[in-house]
Amino acid sequence: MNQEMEELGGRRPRQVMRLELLDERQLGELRAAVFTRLAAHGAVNWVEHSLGSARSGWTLAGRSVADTPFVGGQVVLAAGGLATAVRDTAGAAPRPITEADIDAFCRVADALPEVAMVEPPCAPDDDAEAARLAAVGRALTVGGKHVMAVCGSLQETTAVIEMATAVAGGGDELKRRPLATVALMPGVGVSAASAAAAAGLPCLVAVAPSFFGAQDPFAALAESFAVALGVAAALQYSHPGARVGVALPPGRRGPLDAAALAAVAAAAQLTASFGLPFVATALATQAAGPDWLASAENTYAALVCSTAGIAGIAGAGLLDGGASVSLHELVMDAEIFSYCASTAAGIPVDEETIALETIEHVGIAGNALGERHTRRHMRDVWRPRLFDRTPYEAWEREGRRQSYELADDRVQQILETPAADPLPADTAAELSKIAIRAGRSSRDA
Amino acid sequence: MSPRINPITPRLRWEVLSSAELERIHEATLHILETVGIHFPSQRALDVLRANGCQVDDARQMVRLPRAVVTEAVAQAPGEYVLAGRDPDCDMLIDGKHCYLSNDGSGVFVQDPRTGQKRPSTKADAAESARFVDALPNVSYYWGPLVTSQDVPPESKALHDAEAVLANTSKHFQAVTCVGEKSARYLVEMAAAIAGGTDELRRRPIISIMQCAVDPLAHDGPNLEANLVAAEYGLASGFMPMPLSCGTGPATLAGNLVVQNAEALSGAVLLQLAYPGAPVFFSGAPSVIDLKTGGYTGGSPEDYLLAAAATQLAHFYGLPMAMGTMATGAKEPDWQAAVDDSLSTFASVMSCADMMNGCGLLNGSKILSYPHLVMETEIYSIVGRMAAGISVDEESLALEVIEKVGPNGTYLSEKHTRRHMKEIWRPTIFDRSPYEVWLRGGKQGALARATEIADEILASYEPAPLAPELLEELGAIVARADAEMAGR
Repeated sequence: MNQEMEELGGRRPRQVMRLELLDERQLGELRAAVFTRLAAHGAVNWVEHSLGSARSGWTLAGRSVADTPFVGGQVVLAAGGLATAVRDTAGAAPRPITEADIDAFCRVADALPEVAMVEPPCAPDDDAEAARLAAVGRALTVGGKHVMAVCGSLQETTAVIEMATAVAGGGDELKRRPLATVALMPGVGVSAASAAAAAGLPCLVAVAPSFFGAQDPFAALAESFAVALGVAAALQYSHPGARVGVALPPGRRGPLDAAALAAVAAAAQLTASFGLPFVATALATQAAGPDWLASAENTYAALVCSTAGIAGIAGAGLLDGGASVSLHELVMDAEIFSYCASTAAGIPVDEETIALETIEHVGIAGNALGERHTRRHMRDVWRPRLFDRTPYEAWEREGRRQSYELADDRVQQILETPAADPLPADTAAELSKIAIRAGRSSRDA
Repeated sequence: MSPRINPITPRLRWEVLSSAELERIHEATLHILETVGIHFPSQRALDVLRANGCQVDDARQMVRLPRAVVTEAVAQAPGEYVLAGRDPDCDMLIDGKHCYLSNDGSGVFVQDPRTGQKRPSTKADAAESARFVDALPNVSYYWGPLVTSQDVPPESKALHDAEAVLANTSKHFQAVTCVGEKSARYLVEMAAAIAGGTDELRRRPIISIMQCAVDPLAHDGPNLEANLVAAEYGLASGFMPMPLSCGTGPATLAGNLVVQNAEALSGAVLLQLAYPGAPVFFSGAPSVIDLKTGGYTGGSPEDYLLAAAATQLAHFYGLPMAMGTMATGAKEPDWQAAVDDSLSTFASVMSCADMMNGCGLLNGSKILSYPHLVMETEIYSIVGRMAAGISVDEESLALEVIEKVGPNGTYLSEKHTRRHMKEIWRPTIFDRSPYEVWLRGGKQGALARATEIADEILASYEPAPLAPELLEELGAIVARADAEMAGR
């Protein structure tokens, strides 16, 4: 772990600032709407009882990085999503993703201290399951961070478990330090969730409301939430204490809509009211490149999510509404996340931070720069990587460089540095075999 | 007809500080005012403060303000008043419930949107900027000037600025370059000429005045005297502290708030002691030092936390807040500008800053870019929609419609959809075209659309004119000021 990682890991900001979208009455009404739907299946009491044993958080273990807490109120960033195209530069057209692109994406994600887990993009393939599994294999091979594996079936989940077991060095070790989270696609049965829970892997159950059609976002939320809670409750019933959360998956996001974003925040509050962590793929900007539009959309998304008590914000590096990835966008999204998470960390107020002695000592028209208090706290101040704060003339002399160009420098520097701590070749080969075997049997089925 | 101004009424609130934390910062502020004191380099101010029970050190122009004096004085300030426009449709009710956006102020360059090159601003630019702001409903009042008149005598520059602005907008004008008693009296004379006399100006104050404080814990003499003139005529005024953590304020944000609060509060106390019940406001643009350059950051997470917390403090005293908002450090309307502006606007609106100044300048409030100003009004519009939150009631839960549409149906043709579809936020400059359309159109994004809008306003918009005799009168006042203040 490099110094930057250690620094961030040591002071990952807690999300003190809260933007409560729903007041008590509204949250109550939304919960009632969910219960109305559950009551239709006679499931209200059973769901409430079963969810009582659910964990409100856990840690995200990585192959070669320190564990990251994963719990509402301490937001983490997830890179990637199920894109099948890549944009090489700001103005480039999207092209199909290759294995080398997946590796590059995982390496950049690995180097960014803000990123806690990686959901690898995958190559376009008629067999989407095989493509996803191959991508998970690359993420476990190339990267050292926790992997979020999207699974569309029991078979796919089983293959992910096999891969994670191989990397962890056995089933017991995997239970001790689960290296992957299984994110179930909407409509996937309880059996896949049970398999993940039996292996000790955290499992995210998808809510898939259509926030972006003509349907009212709130009604859509209640509808899909009832289904997700049913799955989560069933999992707790079969595996009490299993790590289960709720996810708003990628692929459902449309153009930025303030009401839709508010509904994401409402979903976070609703999930928290059931004591479960929530992950939202909120960074999938509609923009075609890392520009002003991408910045405005993702800044709002990251800030709203950071202050809404969400455990994980996913989608860093996605463009075109989640259809493409971009290494530059990933680096720039990490900067936005860092900015927003620091904002959401709030202002501590105590004797030390009020600094009365220092104010008295500096007095009128003085300067705090040489004060001990300043030396103690100056490193608490957020420092940018991509924001340009040079004087105008210096900026002009240096060729009027934009944030995109600074992000490009960072990408090149990461990719030119040899990968640290690669997975042993025999384990990597085993992962490939598992992916190929699972893909073959999926096609046969 | 669309409204002339478009305030935000936020339903959602973002509270950076708890009630106990507000109390603690308030107590610390009173302690500093009582023990360290504030530098008031104005004989008039010292006399007012001494007469009202403050301890004055004349040699050092230092004043210690007892807590009872502070709390009693602040309690006399009105928590609600109107900032009027020459056009009554531009009146702003300042009541702690609405957020009004202005343009930014005191820029010194204008950027050509096509070449990116900048040039020094002139009086004609100040006039053009007022005309531009007059056209945009999302910008409720004019603050500044947006860019200063640098081709006029510096001694009477504020009055040339005011002449350019008052002739080109019928929105409220909050002046920020008017310093010194003389300059303030000329400004009041100009506003009174338009309003129809000083009594009418008091009834419908079409101008207000803002001054900077001097950090840490000091005021500037001419600034104090200008605001005393404003208060004398019933015009709203306030002081804007800008402590920088690690430099002119403690490194920790809570300490920065104590310094900022002491400066803003001491200014308000002086005005209340001199003219009890005069409309005053808090202001602020607190920030941190950029540790790499030692300069101003032009946007950082700390800025937005401080902005929201300072607004809470103003409301704690029942006073309105005029908060520095937007003012990105970016040199062009780019990715960095969008991050800064989005967060800054979010913090100001969600904490319900009554006045937000404002949009239009780049590079830490130095360079005017009209397309950038238009893009910032789009950001304002998005935050406005977010701040409205989500209504949850029988109508919005739409159970009947969901049951009717059922699985796999569509809501597009439902009456419920027709009733509510216009509530959905619609962009002005966000590009939502399909990729191929965007490609065919030459990859024109938000900046291109904003430039088109800006060009159109600059080419064709005409504000409600001032009567020729009033224009003449303003000119005559400025000529007198030139003669008296600049010897011309």
